Amino acid sequence: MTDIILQLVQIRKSFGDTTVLDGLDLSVRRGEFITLLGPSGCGKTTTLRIIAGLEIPDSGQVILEGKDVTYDEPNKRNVNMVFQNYALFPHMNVEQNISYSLRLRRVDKATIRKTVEEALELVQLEGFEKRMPNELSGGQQQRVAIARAIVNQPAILLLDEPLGALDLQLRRQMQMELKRLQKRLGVTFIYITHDQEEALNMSDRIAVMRNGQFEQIGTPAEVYSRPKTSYVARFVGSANILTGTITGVNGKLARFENHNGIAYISAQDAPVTAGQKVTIAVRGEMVKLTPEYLDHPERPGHPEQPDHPQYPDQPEHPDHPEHLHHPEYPDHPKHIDRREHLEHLAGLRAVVKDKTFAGGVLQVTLELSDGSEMVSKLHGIDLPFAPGDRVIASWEPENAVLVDLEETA
Amino acid sequence: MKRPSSVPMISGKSGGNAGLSGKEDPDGRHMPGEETTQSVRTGPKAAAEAPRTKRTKRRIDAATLTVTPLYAFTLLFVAGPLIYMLVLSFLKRAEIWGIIHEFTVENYLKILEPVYLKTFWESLKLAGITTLLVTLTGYPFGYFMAKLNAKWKQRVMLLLMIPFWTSSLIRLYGWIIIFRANGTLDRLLMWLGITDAPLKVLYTYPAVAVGMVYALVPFMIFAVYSSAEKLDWQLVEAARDLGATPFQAFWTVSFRLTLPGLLSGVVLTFIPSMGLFFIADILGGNKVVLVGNLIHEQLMKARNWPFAAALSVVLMVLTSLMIAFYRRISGVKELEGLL
Ligand SMILES: Nc1ncnc2c1ncn2[C@@H]1O[C@H](COP(=O)(O)OP(=O)(O)OP(=O)(O)O)[C@@H](O)[C@H]1O
Ligand SMILES: [Mg+2]
Repeated sequence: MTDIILQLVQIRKSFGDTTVLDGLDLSVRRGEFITLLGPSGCGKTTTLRIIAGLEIPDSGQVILEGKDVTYDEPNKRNVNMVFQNYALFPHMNVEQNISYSLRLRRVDKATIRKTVEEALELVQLEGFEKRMPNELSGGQQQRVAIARAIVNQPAILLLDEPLGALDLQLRRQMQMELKRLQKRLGVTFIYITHDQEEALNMSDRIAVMRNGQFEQIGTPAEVYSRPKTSYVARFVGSANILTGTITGVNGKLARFENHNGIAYISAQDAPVTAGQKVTIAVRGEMVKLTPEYLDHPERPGHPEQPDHPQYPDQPEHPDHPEHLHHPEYPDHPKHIDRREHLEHLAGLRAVVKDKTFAGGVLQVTLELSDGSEMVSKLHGIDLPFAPGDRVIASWEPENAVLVDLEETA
Repeated sequence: MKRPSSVPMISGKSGGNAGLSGKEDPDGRHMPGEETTQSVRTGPKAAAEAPRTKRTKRRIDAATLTVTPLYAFTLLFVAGPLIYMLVLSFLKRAEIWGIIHEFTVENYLKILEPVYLKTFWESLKLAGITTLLVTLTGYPFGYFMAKLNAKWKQRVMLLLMIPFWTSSLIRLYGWIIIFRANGTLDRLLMWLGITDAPLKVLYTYPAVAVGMVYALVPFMIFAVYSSAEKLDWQLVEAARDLGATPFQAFWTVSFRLTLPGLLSGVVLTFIPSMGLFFIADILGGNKVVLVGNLIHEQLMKARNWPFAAALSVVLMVLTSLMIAFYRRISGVKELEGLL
């Protein structure tokens, strides 16, 4: 049972030659907190303005509570917006700002006073009625802007980076307050941010935006742990993106190789076949490092075989063409007793390039043999890695996610 | 042609403004874009408040050094003549030429004669009509000009500035060519078949009003423009979003926030229009007599200097009252009841 409050259907919008929104689709459920997340200039504000009626799309439909409002005036729509810079009326005090929409509707004075009082209590600004906007701090202005937008009881509240101008601490506090407010009011929030942490903290769903389209829409957990594309993986939690080939599939496990080494990935969510070129995403905090001195001479990347990587093999795929002539062919006598060991050591060769310590996490930047970089986030400060060390980067198969399947298919 | 008599009075009232800005075009009008009323407000007041703090004493001394010559200059060339005029207005005129140094209030009593009162009334009326017309044309112009993109703003601004490169007198003669019997206007109207006989607009009240509006509308435009330019259009969007119709959004937000510009435009229009006697002279013939004309006449033709001085003093007091009124209302932040 889903109650859709707002639907955007194939919204297109251009300014001059630049296409800002390119066939955008979105369904918003009643009462949910949905966040539009994307880099600067991807069209988040434009989307919100189209919902508010401050901008008319070139084509497409805006359906609000089952009614097509694409061409309705902003004052005819039951949505309110909290602008990024608050847009409080400078010539009105807090009370007048908040009661603006009520006064337009000619609500009687007693009701206005009561509503304003309640709204101020809700945003914890009791006693600020007579202050002018320029006599308020940024956070207080922010609250007034929210109070002003909710007194009208809109079906949807649109918030354009409402915390963008606040410092980190106040931001954290306001994130919690906003979330609490949204729960309490039960109003649908469409929230813009380009801070992925904020999006993950607050949202019921996140819509990751790219070049005027939604790349992925899902719960924070889905978007974070199961990104569909490398763009989403990179943008949400800055994952490592690796490309390579599938060289074997064994039920739930698939073997991934590139010239840095081999790795195992989970093949449960997406079917892959041997020989398929794939892109995988692995979060830094999932990447483990092993010093290379633990390694075996047969280990890929061992100095003895710099240009001739050798692969551990699996009996499940004896027909892999490469393996027939390979010294590590499963039937090869010298290989069999080592198989387990090599499998255990699966990983990518890398050299430690840099390490920084921030927030209880040691962030190690690795350089792979093709010159690309990878990040590993480790807990603890006293780890035995120094710039220049050779290491093996590895991860549990279920922590690597196949991305960009449609694109590479 | 002499300067319109009202100009030194405004400057005199502004206490140092004439000396500080000193930037006037040949007609004695302030150049557009200059915030006359602003400097009226800040100039002397700021200087008076400054010496109070001990900390800044050194800086004050330096400031005093620069300001002193300006004040001296102002005193000499603005306050001096004003005091002279004030004294003059209480003296008697000589039979044929000059003055008699004898105190009298006769000059002021003379103003109360119906003929002269009527002149004041006519001046106020014309100034009122002019201001109204200037507001109705200049406000929308300035407001929408602020909405143009940068390129068009520049072009429109240039078009508005070009007339200032010519003497306003020459531009007035242009109006004669348009308004005179069988002039451009008459021929155009007859050619279009709207009228079949010349209207002979020249030397009528409407001709004077048009001349006044023409001369003063740029000041309204600039005043409104500079205030609309600063307007945050997002506030209008916020108002629309909160349920205001386009007109409600304009009235409760845009208009309220451009009101200071409108008010200074009104002051910049109303006050000079009481003194622009040469427009009434050239476009109105003898039919329209304003206080400015009267003063000019008393001074140059009737040679009644004391009476001319008394008229000037009264005009100046009226203007000052208006400036005080303007400062009063524009100083009040909250105009209750507008929304
Ligand atoms: N009125 C306009 N005229 C021309 N271009 C515009 C207009 N409004 C937006 N754009 C362009 O559309 C693109 C998307 O703008 P939008 O404001 O929606 O981005 P955004 O995702 O909100 O970015 P940010 O995170 O920086 O706020 C930008 O390239 C911007 O330059
Ligand atoms: Mg934006």
